[in-house]
Amino acid sequence: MSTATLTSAVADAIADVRRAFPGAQLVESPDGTGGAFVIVEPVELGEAFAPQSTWLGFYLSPMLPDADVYPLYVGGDVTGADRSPLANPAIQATTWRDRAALQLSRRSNGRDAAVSTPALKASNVVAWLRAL
Amino acid sequence: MSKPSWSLTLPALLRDELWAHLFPGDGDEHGAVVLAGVVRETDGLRLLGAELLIARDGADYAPGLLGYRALRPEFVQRAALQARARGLAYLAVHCHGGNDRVGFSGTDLDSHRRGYPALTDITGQPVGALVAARHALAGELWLPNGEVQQLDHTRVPGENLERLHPQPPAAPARATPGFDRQVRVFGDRGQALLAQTTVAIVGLGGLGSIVAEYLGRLGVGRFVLVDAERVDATNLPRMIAARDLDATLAERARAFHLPWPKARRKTALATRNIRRANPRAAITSFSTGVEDPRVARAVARSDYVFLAADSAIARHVVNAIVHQYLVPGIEAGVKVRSDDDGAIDDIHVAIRPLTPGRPCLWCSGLIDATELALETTPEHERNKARYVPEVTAPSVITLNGIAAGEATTRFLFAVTGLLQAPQASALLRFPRGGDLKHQTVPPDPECRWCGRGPHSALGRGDARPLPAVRRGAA
Repeated sequence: MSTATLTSAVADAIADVRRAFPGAQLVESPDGTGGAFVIVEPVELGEAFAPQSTWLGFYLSPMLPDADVYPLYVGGDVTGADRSPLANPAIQATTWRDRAALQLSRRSNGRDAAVSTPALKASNVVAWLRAL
Repeated sequence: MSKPSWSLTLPALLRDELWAHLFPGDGDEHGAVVLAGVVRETDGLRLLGAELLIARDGADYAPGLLGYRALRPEFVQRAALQARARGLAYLAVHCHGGNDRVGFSGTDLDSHRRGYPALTDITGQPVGALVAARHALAGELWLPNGEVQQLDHTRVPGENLERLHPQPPAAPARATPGFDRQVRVFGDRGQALLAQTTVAIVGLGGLGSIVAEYLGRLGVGRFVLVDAERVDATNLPRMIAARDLDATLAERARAFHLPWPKARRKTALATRNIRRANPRAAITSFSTGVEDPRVARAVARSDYVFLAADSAIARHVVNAIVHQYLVPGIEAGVKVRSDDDGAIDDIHVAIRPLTPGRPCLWCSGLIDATELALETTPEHERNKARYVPEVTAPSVITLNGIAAGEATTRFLFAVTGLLQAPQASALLRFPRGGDLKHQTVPPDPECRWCGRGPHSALGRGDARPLPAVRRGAA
């Protein structure tokens, strides 16, 4: 995929996300404004979930590093291991990029742009989901 | 045809530190280096004071072989390498006696000829010198192509928008008689300064519309108007001199099978009002958001910016322009809070000075990083991502009038030098009870917009890109 239209901060963030999820494929789709949609797959969730792995999607704003990464999405088929829906006010069923998805609405209040990188945010949200 | 010249902008806090070092009261000569961002304008270079390197008396600034005092070679080398690493111009500064006029000595000019061609080779940037008197500043700039230019004037954006010149400027022409009543407040020079000022207004809704009208009536000479929206019927009670037709143009046109497709743009309405007040005003309009790179560049080349839009994008981009390009401004807004049953909790008007190098909108917690992410998400995904729908904010013309009056009065006093007390704090006015509060935010030295650290955007100008959304890019 061409990165010609990405801002340098978005291109750096994508490289950082690749390093944070070393075993996964990363697909980036520049949106023409300097930002990009990103899908990372597979992302391991663990035995407490069914399926045990899914995809993780999010949008990287052309206003990086100042903008948060919000919201993030995982596959719409993710449930608890017993097939019960994930019950949390920060999780909503939706569609994202024409895929059935669960929206993970996790804000980063008081974030420090120098520390809270998109890779860290993605890792933290996956860790939060795993801990439910 | 006038000779090519350059201008300099020094943030007030940097100027204050520099002046404290140059004029400690001992009547002696002192030195320093200013590293400056470079902005290439159509009418010449504008340099932006970004970093101040104080030369310690006796150690870095010592008796010279050919002159009274000189910067030591080790200090010059450190400063030049720092200028090269950061892509900044190098300006050596020293002081002379005197008050409102100053110029280089023959010894000064000889030293420029000996040293500056080599320094431009080292830095790859313009290199020059400034000589200061208490109320005057002269300068000479050597460009990498060998051209030498003289400093025309220096802007000092602080509480007042001070200007420094090598010598007192010529007396202004008499203002036109129509301005007689206001000239009695701030004089012909004040009127001339307003006519020479380029003001950007970002957001021309209920509040920005009044700001445009006031500034047009004051005689501001040049405008950059920014708003992507068109007038609709719910705007009519708040927009100055709006007509029903401005909002209903599309419906009327359809009824008569005319080709006009849409309502009038808010920028067009403001243009109409300004021209009625001041037919000679030069107006550049942009019917997109300030995040459009073309628009951001135009605002960055203004002398003052009014932020009358409450989106996170507008706040972020204007905040960046204020600090990166040293363009002072003011944010004006009205907040109406109600409880879950719709009962009014609080109404207040907020006026926040946007002063280069002072605590910024990020430091004040007034830009929401999550909202910034949502506002820049492509529309089809953004609407789904907002699982709590946006609610239209309450708005009343009289409240907007308080905010516009306070903000434009501060601008007027700043341009004409009439502000008396420090105005660095935000002003919150609570019109229901008449309370006034001042809100001060502590500086964050590490802030990447207004801080003084090596990664700060302060005064960097064209050396780094402004935040932008390239909508419609391939």
